[in-house]
Amino acid sequence: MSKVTFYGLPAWVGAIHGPTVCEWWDHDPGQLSWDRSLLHRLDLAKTPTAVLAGQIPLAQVEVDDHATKGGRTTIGPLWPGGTMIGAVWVSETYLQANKLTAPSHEFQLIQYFDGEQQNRRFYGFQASVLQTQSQLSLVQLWHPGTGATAAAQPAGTWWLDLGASADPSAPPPSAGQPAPLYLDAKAASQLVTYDPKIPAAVGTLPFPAGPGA
Amino acid sequence: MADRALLAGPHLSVVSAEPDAVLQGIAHAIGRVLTVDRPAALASALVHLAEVTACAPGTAGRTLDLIGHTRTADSLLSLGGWLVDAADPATVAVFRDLAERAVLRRLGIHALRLLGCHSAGTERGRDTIGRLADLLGVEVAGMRELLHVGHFGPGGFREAWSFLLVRASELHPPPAGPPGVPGPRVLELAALPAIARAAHPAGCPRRIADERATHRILALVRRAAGACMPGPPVPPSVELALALPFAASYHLAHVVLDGSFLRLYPDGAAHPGVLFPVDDRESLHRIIAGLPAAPDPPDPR
Repeated sequence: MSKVTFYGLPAWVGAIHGPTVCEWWDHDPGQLSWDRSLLHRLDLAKTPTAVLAGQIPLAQVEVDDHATKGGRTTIGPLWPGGTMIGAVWVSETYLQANKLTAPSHEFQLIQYFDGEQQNRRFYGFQASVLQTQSQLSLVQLWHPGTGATAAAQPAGTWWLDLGASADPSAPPPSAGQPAPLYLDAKAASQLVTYDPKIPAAVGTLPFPAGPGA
Repeated sequence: MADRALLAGPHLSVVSAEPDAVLQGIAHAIGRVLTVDRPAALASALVHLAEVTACAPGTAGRTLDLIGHTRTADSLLSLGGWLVDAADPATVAVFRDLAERAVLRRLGIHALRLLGCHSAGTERGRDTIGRLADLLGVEVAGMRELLHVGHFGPGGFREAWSFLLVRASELHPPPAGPPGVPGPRVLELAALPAIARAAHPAGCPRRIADERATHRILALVRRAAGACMPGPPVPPSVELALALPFAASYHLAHVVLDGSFLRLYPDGAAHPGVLFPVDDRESLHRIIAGLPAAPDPPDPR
């Protein structure tokens, strides 16, 4: 079963080398003294869509698709004209190769490419299971990116069939404790309105339905 | 033949008629374009094309692309001497006429795109996009960046650059608040609205519960654990008319998931139902088995 975890990071594009190839900082360059040695090279064409189209092998995936293609990345997707400051959702392999720090589960998504979960994607949330009844769980969810904020109210409370809508490879949250929960794109898009704010200073974007939704 | 060629692809490209090398280069890259320089020219060209559309192939899912320079500090698209400005009565008149004569629908046009540099980059430009969308009843889009000949290929504006478009549907403000309520709902019998029994085609057994039976049923429900379930409503196995504390009024409730839940409608029948877990399914089934069947509601016809 092939899957890739993507991590959402803020991106400031510092160099453009082609229509889809750039270098980017993961912090405001003004706070990094515009240090070009801290730039990370990235090809925005190396996406899950390119894997599914047979254009690249899975091992070469660097980044989630652009928001206009059902993904979560908001820089680019093409230059000139593409967005220079926004979110970049990089693969685990890319994250490790570039020695980037993984953000919390609320800024993670998991894409499956084959097996029982083929083409499904699961988005990370902060959640609290309050109780269960039959196959349903009473779940409180926070808008993505707000769960760690002490003052943040949950986005809502719903009865959910976690057996059908949560990532089977992740442990289910135990009752009463806020914990990570990975929900599939279809369920998630019915529950929450906003995508995480990346960088924190940007406005909110609608939650993506996702290519597999 | 020339008309058929214009309608052969997914984009009907209309280029500003003016002696301009950039626009001529774009028209050359596209290959087949209309050129217009005023509102009446656009209207008459589209009306003529709509008349020949009946015998043209592939009329669905087409965009109407108006291509020109933007002018004035408000970045309004210009076609010849015409500024496409929804605050201008002449602009409104031509698009209203096209809407009233269903010209875009007859041409299979589902979106109008104002393809000029930064045509969605100003408040007035975005206002024009929104107003034209309301007027025409189709999606309208403008550009958030500079536009150049590289964005075009044979047949029109290239799909790869569509991320540069800002659509009227994106200009609506986001929802004011989250769709759910932060915590579980609490069931308050006295606050349940009366809901008339209405005819429904799918049908499931219907039972009437008097006030005593209603209390027995609701005593089985975990009253502080109400919440909606996303997605299409789960089909009920039984519909209950629960007697409310005031005379001759009922609240409809649905037994779902084999009696594990009772779905109530505390916000009224027009809103999604709220699921409350049932602690003792066997008792619920026993109570329901002893309830009288409800007569069919009056036919609304």
